[in-house]
Amino acid sequence: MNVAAPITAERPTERPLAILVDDDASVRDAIGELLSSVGIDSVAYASARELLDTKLPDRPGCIVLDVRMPGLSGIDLQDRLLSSGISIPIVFLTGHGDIAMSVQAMKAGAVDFLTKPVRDQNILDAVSAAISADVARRKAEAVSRKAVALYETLTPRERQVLRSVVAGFMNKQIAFELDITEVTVKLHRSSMMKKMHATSITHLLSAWQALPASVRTGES
Amino acid sequence: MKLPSFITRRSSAVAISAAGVLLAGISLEPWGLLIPIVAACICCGWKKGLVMVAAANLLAFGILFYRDGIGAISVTALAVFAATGLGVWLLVHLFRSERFYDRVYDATHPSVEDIPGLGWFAYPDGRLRFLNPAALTFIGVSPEKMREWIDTDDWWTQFVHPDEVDRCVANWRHAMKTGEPILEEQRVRRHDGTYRWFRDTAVASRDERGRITGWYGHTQDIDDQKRAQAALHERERELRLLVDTVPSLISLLTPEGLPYYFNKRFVDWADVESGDAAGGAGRPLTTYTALIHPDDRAEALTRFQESIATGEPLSQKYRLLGKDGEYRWFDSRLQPLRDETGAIIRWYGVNLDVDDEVRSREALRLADERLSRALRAASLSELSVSIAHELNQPLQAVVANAGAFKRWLRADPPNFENASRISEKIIRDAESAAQVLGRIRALFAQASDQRQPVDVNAVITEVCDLATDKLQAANVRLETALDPRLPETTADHVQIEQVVFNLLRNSIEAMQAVDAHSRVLRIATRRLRNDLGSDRLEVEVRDQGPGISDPDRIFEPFYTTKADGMGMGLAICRSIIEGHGGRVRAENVAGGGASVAFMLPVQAVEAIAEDLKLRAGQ
Repeated sequence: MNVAAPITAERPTERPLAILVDDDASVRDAIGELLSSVGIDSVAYASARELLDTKLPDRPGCIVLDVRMPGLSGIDLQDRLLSSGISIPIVFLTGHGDIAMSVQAMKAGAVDFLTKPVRDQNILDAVSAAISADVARRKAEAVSRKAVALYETLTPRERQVLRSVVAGFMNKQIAFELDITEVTVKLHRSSMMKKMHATSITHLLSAWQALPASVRTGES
Repeated sequence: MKLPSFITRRSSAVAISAAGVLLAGISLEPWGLLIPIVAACICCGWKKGLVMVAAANLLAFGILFYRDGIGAISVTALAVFAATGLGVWLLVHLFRSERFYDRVYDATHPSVEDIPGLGWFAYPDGRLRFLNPAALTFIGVSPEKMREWIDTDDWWTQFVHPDEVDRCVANWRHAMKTGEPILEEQRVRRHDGTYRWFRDTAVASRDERGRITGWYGHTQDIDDQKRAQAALHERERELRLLVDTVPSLISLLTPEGLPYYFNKRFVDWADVESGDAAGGAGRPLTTYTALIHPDDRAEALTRFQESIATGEPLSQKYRLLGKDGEYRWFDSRLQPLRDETGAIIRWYGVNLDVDDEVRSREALRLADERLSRALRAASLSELSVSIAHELNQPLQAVVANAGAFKRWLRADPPNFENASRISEKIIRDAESAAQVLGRIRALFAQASDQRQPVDVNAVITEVCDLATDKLQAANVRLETALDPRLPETTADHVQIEQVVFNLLRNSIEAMQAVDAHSRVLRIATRRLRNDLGSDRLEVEVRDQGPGISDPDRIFEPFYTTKADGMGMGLAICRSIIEGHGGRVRAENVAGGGASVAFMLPVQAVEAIAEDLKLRAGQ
């Protein structure tokens, strides 16, 4: 995404982290070695429960998850993470390919579903894809957070003006619609542009695009 | 509680007094008032007499006032009257006191005074005449106090426990009326306020003409005895309660083994006659043994008689018939009681209801058996899945580690340290894969086949039973055409079961793709013989599914048409059948669907080999 200068992610370059969850120590260990050989950090957990009990680090990354585990299964863990609002990408590993299970996992947003034994390159590809997806997601989230923060500094009137400007109305039309003078519209407009850190309509539009849909449509 | 003699005495005193007062009033002469004084003194005691003296003085004053007027009242006459009244009272009082002291101190009644325990003496009408010193001490009353009670007959009621007063008074009245002796027990209050049990014995003393001249009574302290008796009774009651309420059937038997007592539970549950009702008489043992289930009776009786003969305690289980007509399982124990010489004096029998336990254990055993059979039958495909999973783990580790190994070597400059560390891990993971294989091999070795004569038709029926749920769930109709003359074959029962179950399952799954009403599964058995001496039996499973795309490959390992299949089931089936000297075949049926069949030699492989050897020898 080509974002203009004023609105950028706060921490654009952070080392990614892969989170491995598998009940088999040798598999955890081996995948960790494989990832470290291409320079990806990893932490390993022996069960879904262990992962849920720890606070996830605030780093871009992904989860490499075994489907078949005693206690909470991989699919269960995916549900738990989704319902608690954690949208970190998940790569599933499974011992025995189960179509129904993989469909369910992919529907719930899994990046990949790999059947063991999976070739080393396939793991690396899936993990890299998941990490770049997460980096993009985090970037977009950061941009969106920033835009929301800026948007929240606006007065109700400035918000109305913003809405009308991005909808392509002229100052005159806005003045008519809001039942105020054109001079007042211009005042609101320039203050709104300043608050949104926008130097041009293009900047303003990209900031508007970064706002979550609920903000864009939610208010009247 | 007033006694009749008391009331009559009081009423006669009142009547006489009233007559005296009336006489004095009519004649206007105060001397007539001396009559009520005498009556009161004699009939009501000297305190009331004194009151009467005062009352008579007042009345006399009234009479004189009315007759002579206030001025002319003769003070002298009044004084003389008062003095006379007091004199009469004193006379009566002295007379009575003297008689009392005569009795007490002049030993006129040594028999009463000297009797041990508490003694008393009463007039024929029940009035007290005398209480011996022991009695006075016991109830804590002074001789003076007793003198006040002389001539009253209800004084004792205050010393008798309130619960028994009514009964005692009734007895006393009855004795007064009939002259019968009194024999009763009651609690009497001691001077310190506690009650003790006493036995009261009283007889009437009669003169030569048979008239009652008085009552002599003796009261004996039986409290300790009474308490001991009550305690004994209570213990006995508790014991009986225990025996009757304890949740088991208890019986007592004579040394010869004849029951003579059944506890209440036994009586209630089995409707036998309690030994109590029969007066403890032993009844024939058969009434009891008739309750034992016919299947258990012979053995139970034998062991019972053995036990009675040897004196050994007995413990056995059998079913007993309740009065509701149901048999229940009981754990029966028999224990002899011996006297000091070691001779058995009776047998104690306890029957504990263990029906629920026995039944649940039986149910558990059956369920367990069914479960293990179902597991055995279902295990082929599940087993292969878990084998795959077990193997996948170390293989995955090997692959991932090898990838890392390769990358460290290719790095610039190559990282040999990391590479060699990882190569160690690769070796370790490969070894663990080998271990998995070893474990699986050991598992199969454990379940090495056990050959025995097998009725293949019975195996098929069993498997169909097991698969009923599956058939219903999949909406499949089952048709069987089993040859009733099918001979037995020597085989491993479990393995043959597994093969049949597997074929059944495959067919059911194959038909999921077709219309529900055409889902028919057909199992047939038949015997195949030819002139060349070949004698085999064949089991064919036929379905109406889409058929087999490649019938020649279907028995090959890892060949599967199922999305989540391992391709192991039919391969294992083939190895089982071939291990039994049989063959498998699969083909598409002309009208649609597939037929999978296996053949087994009627004679066991070993038998054929023996046979061949014999022929070769000839």
